[in-house]
Amino acid sequence: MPKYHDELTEVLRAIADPTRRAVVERLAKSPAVVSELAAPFEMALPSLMQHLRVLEEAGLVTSHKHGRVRTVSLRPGGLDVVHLWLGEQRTPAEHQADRLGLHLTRTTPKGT
Amino acid sequence: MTIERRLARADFTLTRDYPAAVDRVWDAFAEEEQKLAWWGAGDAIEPGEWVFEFRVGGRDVAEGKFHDGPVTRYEATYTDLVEHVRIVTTYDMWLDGLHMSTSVASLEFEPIEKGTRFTHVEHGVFFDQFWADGPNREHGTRGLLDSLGTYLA
Repeated sequence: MPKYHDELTEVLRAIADPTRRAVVERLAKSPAVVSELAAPFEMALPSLMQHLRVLEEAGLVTSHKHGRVRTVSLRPGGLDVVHLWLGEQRTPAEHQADRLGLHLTRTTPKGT
Repeated sequence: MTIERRLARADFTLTRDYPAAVDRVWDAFAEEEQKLAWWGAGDAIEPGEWVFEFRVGGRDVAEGKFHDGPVTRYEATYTDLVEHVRIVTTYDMWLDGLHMSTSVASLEFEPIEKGTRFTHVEHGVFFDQFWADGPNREHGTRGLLDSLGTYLA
């Protein structure tokens, strides 16, 4: 439990920042090299590197260096703790409505 | 331990659009076999007493035990039924024999272009130690621990 909550706190802190969120959104589409990532943001490279470090420490991105080029990619499952937490904050009525929806999807033939 | 006597009142409205015709959604409540398929807390719960009397004045009971957790008991009375239009119940919840809440729930079914708009409006009174979100939090935490187990496995 504490382990999970520490992880959640770190992830939420990481994505609380609009720039870091924009980086995550960009990386969701495909991996990118650092210079390519920096282009849309009006900030110095060191600042961007700092943001990337926060994202990496939170387990949201990974990076690999090939020669002189560093490629950053989104780590699959990095946001799962947020999903997990959000899912648990649903009220019983919401859970029930979800289960009904699932039941209807399973049992309703297409086109009716 | 002394019990602090207190009440909390809570109202909520929940609206969902389901891609199924009104009669299909209705049947999910009106037919016992169907209701058994989705009602309750799913696989995390070990079923106990079950009563299903879908008629005005009829009684529903659903009891279940979270593995190694508390027994929850739902007991409802249908107070108003209009086919394909609405279901109104009054219901009580117990947790390990402790009275948690009394509620009035109205479920409305409205045909829309893509299926059914389902509106669940509820007015509840929560008792004593359940006055805040005690039970939700307790279940939520249990579920969280379970999911966490899965997640970490």
